[in-house]
Amino acid sequence: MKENAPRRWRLAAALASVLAVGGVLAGCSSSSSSSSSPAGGAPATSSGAPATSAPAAGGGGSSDTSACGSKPGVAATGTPINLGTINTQQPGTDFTDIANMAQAYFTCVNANGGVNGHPIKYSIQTEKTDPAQIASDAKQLVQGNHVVGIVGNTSILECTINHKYWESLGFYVIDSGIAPECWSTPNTAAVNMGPRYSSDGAVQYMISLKVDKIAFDQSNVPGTDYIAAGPKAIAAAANVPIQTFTTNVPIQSANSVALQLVQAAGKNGAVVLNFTPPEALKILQAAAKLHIQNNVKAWGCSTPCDTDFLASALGTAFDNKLFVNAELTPADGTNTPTMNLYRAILKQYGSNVSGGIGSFSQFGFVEARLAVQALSTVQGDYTVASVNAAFKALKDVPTGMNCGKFTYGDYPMHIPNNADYMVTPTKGQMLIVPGSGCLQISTADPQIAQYVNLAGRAPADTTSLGS
Amino acid sequence: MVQTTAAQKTAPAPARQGWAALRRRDTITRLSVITALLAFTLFGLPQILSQYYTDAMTQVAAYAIVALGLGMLVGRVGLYSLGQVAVLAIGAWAGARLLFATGQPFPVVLVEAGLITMLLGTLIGLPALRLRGLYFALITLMLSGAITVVLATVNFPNGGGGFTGYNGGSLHIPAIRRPSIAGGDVAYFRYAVVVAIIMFVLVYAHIKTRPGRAWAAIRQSEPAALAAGINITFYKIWAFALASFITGVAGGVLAGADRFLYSIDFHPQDSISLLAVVLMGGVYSMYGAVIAALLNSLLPAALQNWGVSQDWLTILFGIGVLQVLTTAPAGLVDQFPRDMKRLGGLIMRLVRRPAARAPAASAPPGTSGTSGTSGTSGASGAARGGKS
Repeated sequence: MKENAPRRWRLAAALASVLAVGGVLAGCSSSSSSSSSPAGGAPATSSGAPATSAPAAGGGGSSDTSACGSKPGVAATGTPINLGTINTQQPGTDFTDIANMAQAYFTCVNANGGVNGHPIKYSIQTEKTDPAQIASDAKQLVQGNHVVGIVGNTSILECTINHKYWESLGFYVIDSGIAPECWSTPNTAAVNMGPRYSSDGAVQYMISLKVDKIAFDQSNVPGTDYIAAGPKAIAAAANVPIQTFTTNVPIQSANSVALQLVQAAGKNGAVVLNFTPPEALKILQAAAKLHIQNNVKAWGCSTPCDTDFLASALGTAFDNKLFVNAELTPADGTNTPTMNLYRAILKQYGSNVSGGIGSFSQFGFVEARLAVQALSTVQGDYTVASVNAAFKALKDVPTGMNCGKFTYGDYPMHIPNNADYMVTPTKGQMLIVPGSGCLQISTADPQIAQYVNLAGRAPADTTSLGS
Repeated sequence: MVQTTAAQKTAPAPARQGWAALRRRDTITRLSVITALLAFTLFGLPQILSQYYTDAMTQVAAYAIVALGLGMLVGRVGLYSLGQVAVLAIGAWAGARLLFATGQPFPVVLVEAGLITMLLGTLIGLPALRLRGLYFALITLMLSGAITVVLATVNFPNGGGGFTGYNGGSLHIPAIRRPSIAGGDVAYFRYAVVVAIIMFVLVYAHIKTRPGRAWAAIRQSEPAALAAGINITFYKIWAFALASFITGVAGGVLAGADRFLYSIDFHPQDSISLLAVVLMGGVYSMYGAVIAALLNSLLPAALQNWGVSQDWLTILFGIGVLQVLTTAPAGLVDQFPRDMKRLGGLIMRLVRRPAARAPAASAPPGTSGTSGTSGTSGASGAARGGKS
């Protein structure tokens, strides 16, 4: 009996190996078989359902989540409309809150009538800044998940890697961009400004505070020169010296980074940061720990800092000292119908949104809402052609969160969000800077100038901060 | 392969002829199986797999070459390098730069990328070759970190000008070009497999000739190899240069596969997980490199597709290395067939046992013991046969 015991273990291990290999093969082959079939079998169609439309993006007026759909309390039972997204998720850089919030919005819509009776099936792919993986994710969404629209992409490299793929298939992506191609290609429109234009806004506000010099620091990821080009152009136009830095993330020695930036900016200067919230927090907390936060005139930050997580973690050390560029309506202290709906959906359906209230989840909300609005206009089958035509046709849509109305349109480049807000931490919340309104990003940035020449400035969305 | 034993050498002429015939038949069988597998990989797999998995298999082809180089260093020479991902990065950088800067045919670029990597890899690794074991691993890891820092500063080429070919302010980064005959994903997968086959043949040719014998002697005992007149430093450099060359070629293949390269894709710690999968696959057999590449590139893609976090791989590889080092030092390539034989034996025994009992039950009293015994021994024989 004793001799047989090890043999049994070996046999069990062998059996496990066979099962594992079988599982791998089954997984691979099942994926391939589904890819060979037509996209999702029969396409979803709106013909069977009454032509109900989604609520106007800027409308609403109730904190009840049922306002997200056309038939409160009635679950959608039609053929699913497949949408997909690709998000970066790696240590130090996690954008899945955007997709998770979009998912929360779609879940809400599905529970309240769906889109013309159809539920939305949302496939989320993550990547680790690996070009091969990003390209594969796109193919998996199209061939494996049979998506007919791409909504909510937020990735450091995705636009660079996949924009030609989307163009070749006729997809018009609604996303939150990071890479330069998210704003400079015909098939991608971002609801956010992204690191460059948001940093523009932060630098622009620092210049309005009459600082002598700006020290601009950002995470060392691809495209840093492209991002820095905007703040440099704006500072140059205002004759304010600017020194740019890049820091590897995750930040290992925040104290030395904070010290270096404060020394570079000088007593009457400003430090502007472009990092994800946890990384920016490291530098800000290090400055507070070293008691050097008041050794500069002001601190600025691009949109990611606009989160209560950061405001509460900082305590009162940076109240009215840190000014954050908020690309969407500041969440705290704003009680518009849209913001109330956003909070309600986040509370009821957004358990996966780890960052809670903040810019990232707002991006997801706006993108999902725009998608639902476009989908509700589709007549007939929900195909790649019909869905993406609807996305492209979005024009002057009030999102309830952007300073200006959203337009996709037929342009070689898209910067539909080019005006935003400034917020500052106040008693653990990010509140709009008193007396400030919408801040239009300067055409001193040549990219903004080019877009404004093509499409003009968007009309103001009066629902974004209430009338 | 069938090894010539002392018994075979001392056997009479007819017996020797028998061994030779057996060996010939074994070789033909092996070649047939390998050819069939390669034909299936080149023509069958792309028909079965989705584009997602085809892309993953292209990565497998590239990383099989990298694993082959590392496996050769570990298994043949006993050098535990933790810098192979940095060497791969050098190859990818050189390949991308040449593909952007010149219009040379892709195979020429691959060879050039391999030669550049061989030169740089050997120069960088030269001081480390005086060391071995833990110290060699540590030094190569440090060098890997240093190369990564340099590449992060220089950046990977993206169609810009100058020596580095990097344009940080580019609004539209162009893709790295592929060979004209393999522009599509499926065609490029086949191209990558063919390149991998050539690299495997190159290494096989080394292993089966003088360098291979020298490496084997060095791995067994450096003093003994020295006493036998083997130039240890020369053959170590040769191994390192060959591993660097094929890894550089793999870098060129990877550049064409990914089409966009970034320094953040070549983490120094990836060298550690690469060593782990190479050990799991098996360092004494070239097939181990293929298993290592499947673990390194296909498994993460499959987990991603199944919605399982890839962070589990760190745990899985840790357990895998522990299992391999304690129970199967030759890796899965050795363990898996053995376990399959055992499993086959078990199944045969289970199948035969009821068959043996049936006549025993129907036999007249007094004869059942004999029948039962013979049945049991038959099953045992099958099990032993399976094990042998």
